[in-house]
Amino acid sequence: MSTGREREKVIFLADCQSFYASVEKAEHPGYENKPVAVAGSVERRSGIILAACPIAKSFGIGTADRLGEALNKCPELVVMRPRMQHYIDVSLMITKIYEEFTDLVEVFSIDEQFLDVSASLHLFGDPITMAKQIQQKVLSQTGVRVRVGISSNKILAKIATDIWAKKNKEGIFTLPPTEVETLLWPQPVNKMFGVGSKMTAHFSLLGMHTIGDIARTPLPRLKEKFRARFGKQSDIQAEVMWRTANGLDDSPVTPRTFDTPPKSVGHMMTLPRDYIEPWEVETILLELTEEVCRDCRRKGYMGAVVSVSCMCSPYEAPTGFSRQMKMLDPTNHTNTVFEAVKMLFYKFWNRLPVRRIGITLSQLKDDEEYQLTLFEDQIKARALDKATDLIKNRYGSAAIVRASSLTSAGQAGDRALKIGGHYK
Amino acid sequence: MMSAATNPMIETEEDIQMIKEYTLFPILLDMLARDMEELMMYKNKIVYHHVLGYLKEVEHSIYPELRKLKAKMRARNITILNTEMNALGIDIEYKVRGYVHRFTMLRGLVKAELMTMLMNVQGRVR
Repeated sequence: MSTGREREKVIFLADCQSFYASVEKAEHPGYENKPVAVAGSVERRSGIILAACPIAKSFGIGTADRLGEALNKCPELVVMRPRMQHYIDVSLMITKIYEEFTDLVEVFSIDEQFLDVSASLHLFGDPITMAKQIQQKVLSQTGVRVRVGISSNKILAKIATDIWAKKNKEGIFTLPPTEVETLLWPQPVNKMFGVGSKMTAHFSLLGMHTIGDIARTPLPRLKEKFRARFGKQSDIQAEVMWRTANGLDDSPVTPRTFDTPPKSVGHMMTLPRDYIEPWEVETILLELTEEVCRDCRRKGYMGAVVSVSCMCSPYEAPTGFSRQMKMLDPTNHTNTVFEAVKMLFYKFWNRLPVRRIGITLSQLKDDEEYQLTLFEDQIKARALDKATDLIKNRYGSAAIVRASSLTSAGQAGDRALKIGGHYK
Repeated sequence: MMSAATNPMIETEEDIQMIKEYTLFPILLDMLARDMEELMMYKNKIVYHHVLGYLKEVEHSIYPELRKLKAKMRARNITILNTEMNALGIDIEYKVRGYVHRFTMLRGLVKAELMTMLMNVQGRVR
Protein backbone atom coordinates (compact mmCIF):
# COMPACT_ATOMS: atom_id res chain seq x y z
CA MET A 1 0.00 0.00 0.00
CA SER A 2 2.66 2.56 -0.95
CA THR A 3 1.60 5.85 -2.37
CA GLY A 4 4.22 8.08 -3.84
CA ARG A 5 6.73 9.63 -1.48
CA GLU A 6 5.18 8.78 1.83
CA ARG A 7 4.60 5.13 2.62
CA GLU A 8 1.07 4.52 3.83
CA LYS A 9 0.57 2.71 7.11
CA VAL A 10 -0.62 -0.89 7.19
CA ILE A 11 -2.96 -1.52 10.10
CA PHE A 12 -4.55 -4.83 11.05
CA LEU A 13 -7.55 -5.36 13.29
CA ALA A 14 -7.42 -8.96 14.46
CA ASP A 15 -10.66 -10.30 15.91
CA CYS A 16 -11.12 -13.71 17.59
CA GLN A 17 -14.15 -15.62 16.31
CA SER A 18 -16.68 -16.44 19.07
CA PHE A 19 -13.80 -16.03 21.50
CA TYR A 20 -15.06 -17.63 24.74
CA ALA A 21 -16.88 -20.43 22.87
CA SER A 22 -13.81 -21.14 20.67
CA VAL A 23 -11.56 -21.43 23.74
CA GLU A 24 -14.01 -23.89 25.31
CA LYS A 25 -14.40 -25.92 22.11
CA ALA A 26 -10.63 -26.17 21.65
CA GLU A 27 -10.28 -27.54 25.18
CA HIS A 28 -13.22 -29.94 24.88
CA PRO A 29 -12.59 -31.79 21.60
CA GLY A 30 -15.68 -33.94 22.22
CA TYR A 31 -17.87 -30.91 21.45
CA GLU A 32 -16.16 -30.14 18.14
CA ASN A 33 -19.28 -30.75 16.05
CA LYS A 34 -21.84 -29.65 18.62
CA PRO A 35 -23.47 -26.26 19.20
CA VAL A 36 -21.68 -24.68 22.16
CA ALA A 37 -22.44 -21.47 24.04
CA VAL A 38 -20.88 -19.83 27.07
CA ALA A 39 -23.51 -18.33 29.38
CA GLY A 40 -23.98 -17.02 32.90
CA SER A 41 -26.35 -18.64 35.37
CA VAL A 42 -30.10 -18.08 35.30
CA GLU A 43 -30.35 -18.37 39.09
CA ARG A 44 -28.09 -15.37 39.57
CA ARG A 45 -29.85 -13.31 36.89
CA SER A 46 -26.82 -13.36 34.60
CA GLY A 47 -28.29 -16.01 32.30
CA ILE A 48 -27.38 -14.50 28.96
CA ILE A 49 -25.31 -15.87 26.11
CA LEU A 50 -21.81 -14.41 26.30
CA ALA A 51 -20.55 -16.25 23.21
CA ALA A 52 -21.96 -18.80 20.80
CA CYS A 53 -19.93 -20.95 18.40
CA PRO A 54 -20.70 -20.76 14.66
CA ILE A 55 -22.78 -24.00 14.84
CA ALA A 56 -24.90 -22.49 17.64
CA LYS A 57 -25.21 -19.26 15.65
CA SER A 58 -26.59 -21.25 12.70
CA PHE A 59 -29.59 -22.03 14.96
CA GLY A 60 -30.19 -18.29 15.32
CA ILE A 61 -28.51 -17.98 18.73
CA GLY A 62 -26.75 -14.66 19.22
CA THR A 63 -24.69 -12.90 21.88
CA ALA A 64 -26.85 -11.40 24.68
CA ASP A 65 -29.78 -13.78 23.99
CA ARG A 66 -31.41 -15.01 27.17
CA LEU A 67 -30.38 -18.56 27.99
CA GLY A 68 -33.98 -19.80 27.97
CA GLU A 69 -34.57 -18.32 24.50
CA ALA A 70 -31.35 -19.91 23.23
CA LEU A 71 -32.36 -23.34 24.54
CA ASN A 72 -35.75 -22.97 22.84
CA LYS A 73 -34.00 -22.28 19.54
CA CYS A 74 -31.60 -25.19 19.97
CA PRO A 75 -32.47 -27.73 22.71
CA GLU A 76 -29.23 -29.69 22.16
CA LEU A 77 -27.12 -26.59 22.88
CA VAL A 78 -24.11 -27.37 25.10
CA VAL A 79 -24.00 -24.57 27.69
CA MET A 80 -20.71 -23.94 29.44
CA ARG A 81 -19.97 -21.78 32.45
CA PRO A 82 -17.62 -18.87 31.75
CA ARG A 83 -14.01 -18.95 32.99
CA MET A 84 -13.11 -15.29 32.74
CA GLN A 85 -9.58 -15.54 34.16
CA HIS A 86 -8.78 -18.24 31.62
CA TYR A 87 -10.09 -16.13 28.74
CA ILE A 88 -7.92 -13.24 29.95
CA ASP A 89 -4.89 -15.60 29.98
CA VAL A 90 -5.65 -16.76 26.42
CA SER A 91 -6.17 -13.17 25.28
CA LEU A 92 -2.80 -12.13 26.76
CA MET A 93 -1.20 -15.10 25.02
CA ILE A 94 -2.70 -14.05 21.69
CA THR A 95 -1.39 -10.50 22.21
CA LYS A 96 2.08 -12.00 22.78
CA ILE A 97 1.79 -13.90 19.50
CA TYR A 98 0.97 -10.64 17.70
CA GLU A 99 3.99 -9.03 19.35
CA GLU A 100 6.18 -11.51 17.46
CA PHE A 101 5.03 -9.76 14.29
CA THR A 102 5.20 -6.13 15.45
CA ASP A 103 5.86 -4.29 18.70
CA LEU A 104 2.94 -1.94 17.96
CA VAL A 105 -0.01 -3.94 19.31
CA GLU A 106 -2.94 -2.16 20.94
CA VAL A 107 -5.47 -4.15 22.94
CA PHE A 108 -8.91 -2.94 21.88
CA SER A 109 -10.95 -5.50 23.83
CA ILE A 110 -10.51 -9.02 25.20
CA ASP A 111 -10.86 -10.46 21.68
CA GLU A 112 -9.71 -7.63 19.42
CA GLN A 113 -6.28 -6.08 18.90
CA PHE A 114 -4.91 -3.47 16.49
CA LEU A 115 -1.51 -4.13 14.93
CA ASP A 116 0.57 -1.53 13.12
CA VAL A 117 2.71 -3.72 10.85
CA SER A 118 4.02 -0.92 8.60
CA ALA A 119 7.60 -1.26 9.81
CA SER A 120 7.82 -5.06 9.99
CA LEU A 121 5.81 -5.94 6.90
CA HIS A 122 8.90 -6.26 4.67
CA LEU A 123 10.15 -9.09 6.89
CA PHE A 124 7.06 -11.20 6.34
CA GLY A 125 6.11 -10.44 2.74
CA ASP A 126 2.78 -8.88 1.90
CA PRO A 127 -0.13 -8.08 4.27
CA ILE A 128 -2.17 -11.12 3.25
CA THR A 129 0.74 -13.53 3.82
CA MET A 130 1.39 -11.94 7.19
CA ALA A 131 -2.29 -12.12 8.17
CA LYS A 132 -2.41 -15.80 7.18
CA GLN A 133 0.66 -16.50 9.28
CA ILE A 134 -0.93 -14.79 12.26
CA GLN A 135 -4.09 -16.87 11.77
CA GLN A 136 -2.08 -20.11 11.61
CA LYS A 137 -0.03 -19.34 14.67
CA VAL A 138 -2.98 -18.31 16.83
CA LEU A 139 -5.06 -21.29 15.70
CA SER A 140 -2.32 -23.82 16.44
CA GLN A 141 -1.53 -22.39 19.87
CA THR A 142 -5.01 -21.60 21.13
CA GLY A 143 -7.55 -23.27 18.84
CA VAL A 144 -9.09 -19.84 18.15
CA ARG A 145 -9.75 -18.63 14.60
CA VAL A 146 -8.74 -15.03 13.98
CA ARG A 147 -10.25 -12.72 11.35
CA VAL A 148 -8.09 -9.88 10.07
CA GLY A 149 -9.22 -6.58 8.54
CA ILE A 150 -6.44 -4.71 6.75
CA SER A 151 -6.29 -1.03 5.85
CA SER A 152 -4.33 2.18 6.31
CA ASN A 153 -5.86 3.29 9.62
CA LYS A 154 -7.63 1.85 12.66
CA ILE A 155 -11.22 2.71 11.78
CA LEU A 156 -10.95 1.27 8.26
CA ALA A 157 -9.26 -1.87 9.59
CA LYS A 158 -12.10 -2.28 12.10
CA ILE A 159 -14.72 -1.75 9.38
CA ALA A 160 -12.90 -4.20 7.08
CA THR A 161 -13.13 -6.84 9.82
CA ASP A 162 -16.73 -6.20 10.85
CA ILE A 163 -18.30 -5.97 7.42
CA TRP A 164 -16.17 -8.33 5.32
CA ALA A 165 -13.47 -10.39 7.09
CA LYS A 166 -16.01 -11.82 9.56
CA LYS A 167 -18.21 -12.94 6.68
CA ASN A 168 -15.80 -14.39 4.12
CA LYS A 169 -14.23 -17.85 4.11
CA GLU A 170 -10.60 -16.74 4.47
CA GLY A 171 -11.33 -14.41 7.38
CA ILE A 172 -9.11 -11.75 5.78
CA PHE A 173 -10.16 -8.60 3.96
CA THR A 174 -8.26 -5.58 2.66
CA LEU A 175 -10.07 -2.26 2.44
CA PRO A 176 -7.80 0.27 0.73
CA PRO A 177 -8.71 3.92 1.40
CA THR A 178 -9.08 4.39 -2.35
CA GLU A 179 -12.01 1.96 -2.34
CA VAL A 180 -13.97 3.47 0.53
CA GLU A 181 -16.34 5.13 -1.91
CA THR A 182 -17.05 2.01 -3.96
CA LEU A 183 -17.08 -0.58 -1.15
CA LEU A 184 -18.07 1.19 2.05
CA TRP A 185 -20.42 3.94 0.97
CA PRO A 186 -23.13 1.69 -0.55
CA GLN A 187 -23.43 -0.20 2.79
CA PRO A 188 -26.50 0.49 4.98
CA VAL A 189 -26.00 2.86 7.91
CA ASN A 190 -26.46 0.15 10.55
CA LYS A 191 -23.26 -1.58 9.36
CA MET A 192 -21.15 1.42 10.33
CA PHE A 193 -19.01 1.14 13.46
CA GLY A 194 -20.63 3.05 16.33
CA VAL A 195 -24.15 2.93 14.90
CA GLY A 196 -26.71 0.86 16.78
CA SER A 197 -30.43 0.43 16.33
CA LYS A 198 -31.35 3.80 17.89
CA MET A 199 -28.81 5.74 15.84
CA THR A 200 -29.97 3.94 12.68
CA ALA A 201 -33.49 5.17 13.38
CA HIS A 202 -32.19 8.73 13.88
CA PHE A 203 -30.28 8.61 10.59
CA SER A 204 -33.35 7.23 8.87
CA LEU A 205 -35.37 10.21 10.10
CA LEU A 206 -32.61 12.49 8.80
CA GLY A 207 -32.99 10.83 5.40
CA MET A 208 -29.66 9.01 5.57
CA HIS A 209 -29.83 5.33 4.74
CA THR A 210 -26.36 4.44 3.49
CA ILE A 211 -22.91 5.19 4.89
CA GLY A 212 -22.31 7.23 1.74
CA ASP A 213 -25.27 9.47 2.65
CA ILE A 214 -23.42 10.46 5.84
CA ALA A 215 -20.03 10.75 4.15
CA ARG A 216 -21.29 12.96 1.33
CA THR A 217 -23.06 15.40 3.66
CA PRO A 218 -20.75 18.38 4.28
CA LEU A 219 -19.64 18.33 7.92
CA PRO A 220 -21.14 21.75 8.85
CA ARG A 221 -24.48 20.60 7.39
CA LEU A 222 -24.33 17.31 9.33
CA LYS A 223 -23.56 19.22 12.53
CA GLU A 224 -26.62 21.41 11.93
CA LYS A 225 -28.80 18.36 11.43
CA PHE A 226 -27.44 16.74 14.60
CA ARG A 227 -27.95 19.96 16.58
CA ALA A 228 -31.56 20.09 15.45
CA ARG A 229 -32.08 16.50 16.53
CA PHE A 230 -29.84 15.99 19.60
CA GLY A 231 -29.22 19.53 20.87
CA LYS A 232 -26.24 21.86 20.98
CA GLN A 233 -23.79 19.36 22.47
CA SER A 234 -23.83 17.02 19.46
CA ASP A 235 -21.08 18.55 17.29
CA ILE A 236 -18.47 16.02 18.38
CA GLN A 237 -20.81 13.12 17.76
CA ALA A 238 -21.57 14.45 14.27
CA GLU A 239 -17.87 14.78 13.51
CA VAL A 240 -17.12 11.25 14.77
CA MET A 241 -19.87 9.84 12.52
CA TRP A 242 -18.72 11.88 9.52
CA ARG A 243 -15.08 10.88 9.94
CA THR A 244 -16.03 7.20 10.38
CA ALA A 245 -18.15 7.28 7.22
CA ASN A 246 -15.25 8.83 5.32
CA GLY A 247 -12.76 6.37 6.80
CA LEU A 248 -10.70 9.12 8.43
CA ASP A 249 -8.73 8.27 11.56
CA ASP A 250 -5.43 9.81 12.64
CA SER A 251 -5.11 7.95 15.94
CA PRO A 252 -1.97 5.83 16.16
CA VAL A 253 -1.83 2.21 17.30
CA THR A 254 -0.84 2.72 20.93
CA PRO A 255 0.56 -0.18 22.96
CA ARG A 256 -0.14 -0.12 26.69
CA THR A 257 -3.42 1.80 26.24
CA PHE A 258 -4.61 0.43 29.56
CA ASP A 259 -1.58 1.77 31.40
CA THR A 260 -2.96 5.32 31.24
CA PRO A 261 -4.35 6.67 34.53
CA PRO A 262 -8.09 6.06 34.96
CA LYS A 263 -10.59 8.93 35.18
CA SER A 264 -12.77 7.03 37.60
CA VAL A 265 -12.90 3.75 39.50
CA GLY A 266 -16.24 2.03 39.85
CA HIS A 267 -18.02 -1.26 40.51
CA MET A 268 -21.55 -2.32 39.69
CA MET A 269 -23.57 -5.38 40.56
CA THR A 270 -26.83 -6.97 39.45
CA LEU A 271 -28.34 -8.53 42.56
CA PRO A 272 -29.35 -12.19 42.56
CA ARG A 273 -32.82 -11.15 43.78
CA ASP A 274 -34.59 -7.86 44.43
CA TYR A 275 -33.44 -6.26 47.68
CA ILE A 276 -36.19 -4.50 49.61
CA GLU A 277 -34.92 -3.96 53.15
CA PRO A 278 -32.55 -1.03 53.77
CA TRP A 279 -30.09 -3.25 55.72
CA GLU A 280 -29.86 -5.59 52.72
CA VAL A 281 -29.07 -2.75 50.33
CA GLU A 282 -26.60 -1.24 52.80
CA THR A 283 -24.73 -4.56 52.91
CA ILE A 284 -24.18 -4.37 49.14
CA LEU A 285 -23.35 -0.66 49.26
CA LEU A 286 -20.64 -1.39 51.81
CA GLU A 287 -19.25 -4.31 49.80
CA LEU A 288 -19.11 -2.23 46.62
CA THR A 289 -17.57 0.74 48.50
CA GLU A 290 -14.93 -1.60 49.90
CA GLU A 291 -14.09 -2.88 46.39
CA VAL A 292 -13.94 0.60 44.85
CA CYS A 293 -11.78 1.99 47.67
CA ARG A 294 -9.49 -1.04 47.59
CA ASP A 295 -9.01 -0.58 43.83
CA CYS A 296 -8.20 3.10 44.42
CA ARG A 297 -5.72 2.26 47.16
CA ARG A 298 -4.03 -0.36 44.96
CA LYS A 299 -3.71 2.16 42.12
CA GLY A 300 -2.65 4.98 44.44
CA TYR A 301 -5.63 7.32 44.01
CA MET A 302 -8.18 9.12 46.14
CA GLY A 303 -11.54 10.27 44.77
CA ALA A 304 -13.20 13.64 45.41
CA VAL A 305 -16.58 12.79 43.87
CA VAL A 306 -18.69 9.75 44.70
CA SER A 307 -21.51 8.52 42.43
CA VAL A 308 -24.26 6.06 43.24
CA SER A 309 -26.39 4.49 40.53
CA CYS A 310 -29.39 2.34 41.28
CA MET A 311 -31.84 0.47 39.05
CA CYS A 312 -35.09 -0.73 40.57
CA SER A 313 -37.39 -3.54 39.41
CA PRO A 314 -39.32 -4.47 37.36
CA TYR A 315 -36.87 -5.35 34.58
CA GLU A 316 -39.33 -4.41 31.81
CA ALA A 317 -40.01 -0.90 33.14
CA PRO A 318 -37.09 -0.07 35.38
CA THR A 319 -36.84 3.05 37.48
CA GLY A 320 -33.85 4.34 39.35
CA PHE A 321 -31.32 7.11 39.62
CA SER A 322 -27.69 7.99 39.12
CA ARG A 323 -26.44 10.83 41.33
CA GLN A 324 -23.13 12.17 42.49
CA MET A 325 -21.78 14.41 45.23
CA LYS A 326 -18.49 16.01 46.11
CA MET A 327 -16.99 14.87 49.40
CA LEU A 328 -15.30 17.21 51.87
CA ASP A 329 -11.84 15.96 50.93
CA PRO A 330 -10.59 13.42 48.40
CA THR A 331 -10.36 10.00 50.06
CA ASN A 332 -10.07 6.26 49.50
CA HIS A 333 -10.99 5.33 53.06
CA THR A 334 -13.85 2.81 52.94
CA ASN A 335 -15.82 4.05 55.96
CA THR A 336 -15.66 7.71 54.90
CA VAL A 337 -16.82 6.94 51.36
CA PHE A 338 -19.52 4.62 52.72
CA GLU A 339 -21.02 7.44 54.81
CA ALA A 340 -21.24 9.62 51.68
CA VAL A 341 -22.69 6.73 49.67
CA LYS A 342 -25.42 6.12 52.25
CA MET A 343 -26.30 9.81 52.39
CA LEU A 344 -26.61 9.97 48.61
CA PHE A 345 -28.53 6.70 48.34
CA TYR A 346 -31.18 7.49 50.93
CA LYS A 347 -31.69 10.96 49.48
CA PHE A 348 -32.87 9.55 46.14
CA TRP A 349 -34.09 5.98 46.84
CA ASN A 350 -37.88 5.74 46.55
CA ARG A 351 -38.04 2.38 48.39
CA LEU A 352 -38.72 0.37 45.25
CA PRO A 353 -37.05 -3.08 45.14
CA VAL A 354 -33.40 -2.69 44.09
CA ARG A 355 -32.18 -4.79 41.16
CA ARG A 356 -28.80 -3.29 40.26
CA ILE A 357 -26.50 -0.95 42.09
CA GLY A 358 -23.16 0.73 41.36
CA ILE A 359 -20.63 3.01 43.04
CA THR A 360 -17.94 5.13 41.39
CA LEU A 361 -15.19 7.43 42.65
CA SER A 362 -14.05 10.16 40.25
CA GLN A 363 -11.93 13.34 40.17
CA LEU A 364 -9.03 11.18 41.23
CA LYS A 365 -5.81 12.51 42.68
CA ASP A 366 -2.60 11.02 44.03
CA ASP A 367 -3.16 9.46 47.46
CA GLU A 368 0.18 10.61 48.83
CA GLU A 369 -1.13 14.12 49.44
CA TYR A 370 -4.07 13.81 51.80
CA GLN A 371 -5.71 16.55 53.84
CA LEU A 372 -4.99 16.41 57.56
CA THR A 373 -7.94 16.79 59.94
CA LEU A 374 -8.22 17.10 63.70
CA PHE A 375 -11.42 15.14 63.98
CA GLU A 376 -10.43 11.64 62.92
CA ASP A 377 -7.44 9.40 63.26
CA GLN A 378 -6.46 9.12 59.62
CA ILE A 379 -3.21 7.27 60.30
CA LYS A 380 -5.07 4.54 62.17
CA ALA A 381 -7.81 4.32 59.49
CA ARG A 382 -5.26 4.11 56.67
CA ALA A 383 -3.31 1.43 58.57
CA LEU A 384 -6.51 -0.61 59.01
CA ASP A 385 -7.34 -0.38 55.29
CA LYS A 386 -3.76 -1.32 54.44
CA ALA A 387 -3.84 -4.37 56.71
CA THR A 388 -7.13 -5.69 55.26
CA ASP A 389 -5.84 -5.06 51.72
CA LEU A 390 -2.71 -7.07 52.45
CA ILE A 391 -4.78 -9.99 53.76
CA LYS A 392 -7.06 -9.88 50.71
CA ASN A 393 -4.15 -9.63 48.29
CA ARG A 394 -2.50 -12.65 49.82
CA TYR A 395 -5.45 -14.93 50.57
CA GLY A 396 -8.18 -13.69 48.22
CA SER A 397 -10.93 -11.06 48.38
CA ALA A 398 -13.17 -13.17 50.59
CA ALA A 399 -10.46 -13.89 53.19
CA ILE A 400 -11.57 -10.98 55.35
CA VAL A 401 -15.01 -9.38 54.98
CA ARG A 402 -17.32 -7.14 57.01
CA ALA A 403 -19.64 -9.02 59.35
CA SER A 404 -22.65 -7.82 57.33
CA SER A 405 -21.32 -9.76 54.33
CA LEU A 406 -21.94 -12.98 56.25
CA THR A 407 -25.70 -12.29 56.38
CA SER A 408 -28.14 -13.56 53.75
CA ALA A 409 -27.77 -10.28 51.84
CA GLY A 410 -23.99 -10.50 51.52
CA GLN A 411 -22.46 -11.19 48.11
CA ALA A 412 -18.76 -10.69 48.85
CA GLY A 413 -18.00 -14.41 48.87
CA ASP A 414 -19.65 -14.96 45.49
CA ARG A 415 -18.14 -11.83 43.95
CA ALA A 416 -14.65 -13.01 44.95
CA LEU A 417 -15.15 -15.91 42.52
CA LYS A 418 -15.99 -13.61 39.62
CA ILE A 419 -14.50 -11.17 37.15
CA GLY A 420 -16.83 -8.65 35.52
CA GLY A 421 -19.86 -10.41 36.98
CA HIS A 422 -18.93 -13.80 35.51
CA TYR A 423 -17.10 -16.70 37.11
CA LYS A 424 -13.28 -16.61 36.90
CA MET B 1 9.29 -9.03 -1.68
CA MET B 2 9.75 -12.70 -0.82
CA SER B 3 6.80 -15.08 -0.79
CA ALA B 4 5.92 -17.42 2.06
CA ALA B 5 7.57 -20.29 0.22
CA THR B 6 10.92 -18.54 -0.24
CA ASN B 7 11.18 -16.37 2.87
CA PRO B 8 13.13 -18.34 5.50
CA MET B 9 11.75 -16.20 8.28
CA ILE B 10 8.19 -17.28 7.63
CA GLU B 11 7.07 -20.42 9.42
CA THR B 12 4.81 -22.63 7.34
CA GLU B 13 1.74 -24.40 8.68
CA GLU B 14 3.71 -27.69 8.59
CA ASP B 15 6.57 -26.14 10.59
CA ILE B 16 4.17 -25.08 13.35
CA GLN B 17 2.44 -28.47 13.31
CA MET B 18 5.78 -30.25 13.70
CA ILE B 19 6.76 -28.08 16.66
CA LYS B 20 3.42 -28.80 18.25
CA GLU B 21 3.72 -32.58 17.78
CA TYR B 22 7.33 -32.59 18.89
CA THR B 23 6.28 -30.83 22.08
CA LEU B 24 3.30 -33.04 22.76
CA PHE B 25 4.77 -36.51 22.02
CA PRO B 26 7.17 -36.54 25.00
CA ILE B 27 4.38 -35.38 27.33
CA LEU B 28 2.17 -38.18 25.99
CA LEU B 29 4.97 -40.72 26.53
CA ASP B 30 5.45 -39.48 30.10
CA MET B 31 1.74 -39.76 30.73
CA LEU B 32 1.61 -43.30 29.38
CA ALA B 33 4.69 -44.32 31.41
CA ARG B 34 3.14 -42.99 34.60
CA ASP B 35 -0.19 -44.71 33.99
CA MET B 36 1.49 -47.99 33.07
CA GLU B 37 3.55 -47.88 36.24
CA GLU B 38 0.38 -47.52 38.23
CA LEU B 39 -1.29 -50.39 36.38
CA MET B 40 1.74 -52.63 37.04
CA MET B 41 0.52 -52.91 40.60
CA TYR B 42 -2.54 -54.76 39.34
CA LYS B 43 -0.98 -56.72 36.50
CA ASN B 44 -2.14 -60.04 37.96
CA LYS B 45 -5.73 -59.01 37.26
CA ILE B 46 -6.61 -60.12 33.75
CA VAL B 47 -8.37 -56.90 32.67
CA TYR B 48 -5.58 -54.63 33.87
CA HIS B 49 -3.07 -56.96 32.25
CA HIS B 50 -4.84 -56.50 28.90
CA VAL B 51 -5.03 -52.72 29.32
CA LEU B 52 -1.33 -52.67 30.15
CA GLY B 53 -0.51 -54.65 27.03
CA TYR B 54 -2.58 -52.30 24.94
CA LEU B 55 -0.94 -49.19 26.39
CA LYS B 56 2.49 -50.69 25.68
CA GLU B 57 1.44 -51.13 22.05
CA VAL B 58 0.37 -47.49 21.94
CA GLU B 59 3.68 -46.45 23.47
CA HIS B 60 5.69 -48.47 20.96
CA SER B 61 3.76 -47.00 18.05
CA ILE B 62 4.76 -43.48 19.14
CA TYR B 63 8.54 -43.99 18.96
CA PRO B 64 8.76 -44.46 15.18
CA GLU B 65 6.50 -41.42 14.75
CA LEU B 66 8.81 -39.38 16.92
CA ARG B 67 11.87 -40.57 14.98
CA LYS B 68 10.21 -39.63 11.66
CA LEU B 69 9.29 -36.24 13.06
CA LYS B 70 12.87 -35.58 14.23
CA ALA B 71 14.19 -36.45 10.76
CA LYS B 72 11.69 -34.11 9.12
CA MET B 73 12.61 -31.31 11.49
CA ARG B 74 16.31 -31.80 10.74
CA ALA B 75 15.57 -31.64 7.03
CA ARG B 76 13.72 -28.37 7.51
CA ASN B 77 16.41 -26.95 9.77
CA ILE B 78 14.15 -26.72 12.82
CA THR B 79 15.78 -26.93 16.27
CA ILE B 80 14.20 -26.76 19.71
CA LEU B 81 16.20 -24.39 21.92
CA ASN B 82 14.32 -24.47 25.19
CA THR B 83 11.20 -26.06 26.63
CA GLU B 84 9.73 -24.76 29.84
CA MET B 85 6.70 -25.97 31.79
CA ASN B 86 5.14 -23.33 34.02
CA ALA B 87 1.93 -22.78 35.95
CA LEU B 88 0.08 -21.61 32.84
CA GLY B 89 1.29 -24.23 30.39
CA ILE B 90 4.23 -24.95 28.14
CA ASP B 91 6.58 -22.47 26.52
CA ILE B 92 8.94 -23.50 23.70
CA GLU B 93 11.69 -21.49 22.11
CA TYR B 94 12.82 -22.85 18.74
CA LYS B 95 14.70 -21.95 15.61
CA VAL B 96 13.34 -22.31 12.09
CA ARG B 97 15.93 -21.83 9.34
CA GLY B 98 17.99 -19.61 11.60
CA TYR B 99 15.13 -17.48 12.99
CA VAL B 100 14.05 -17.79 16.61
CA HIS B 101 10.33 -18.14 17.39
CA ARG B 102 8.20 -18.99 20.42
CA PHE B 103 5.32 -21.36 20.89
CA THR B 104 3.08 -21.33 23.97
CA MET B 105 0.19 -23.60 24.89
CA LEU B 106 -1.98 -23.31 27.98
CA ARG B 107 -2.51 -26.42 30.09
CA GLY B 108 -6.14 -26.90 29.09
CA LEU B 109 -5.29 -27.02 25.41
CA VAL B 110 -2.25 -29.28 25.99
CA LYS B 111 -4.58 -31.79 27.66
CA ALA B 112 -7.16 -31.53 24.87
CA GLU B 113 -4.50 -31.95 22.16
CA LEU B 114 -3.05 -34.96 23.99
CA MET B 115 -6.47 -36.60 24.07
CA THR B 116 -6.90 -36.03 20.33
CA MET B 117 -3.40 -37.35 19.69
CA LEU B 118 -4.09 -40.45 21.79
CA MET B 119 -7.29 -41.12 19.87
CA ASN B 120 -5.38 -40.89 16.57
CA VAL B 121 -2.65 -43.24 17.82
CA GLN B 122 -5.29 -45.67 19.12
CA GLY B 123 -6.90 -45.64 15.68
CA ARG B 124 -3.60 -46.64 14.10
CA VAL B 125 -2.92 -49.38 16.67
CA ARG B 126 -6.33 -50.97 16.08
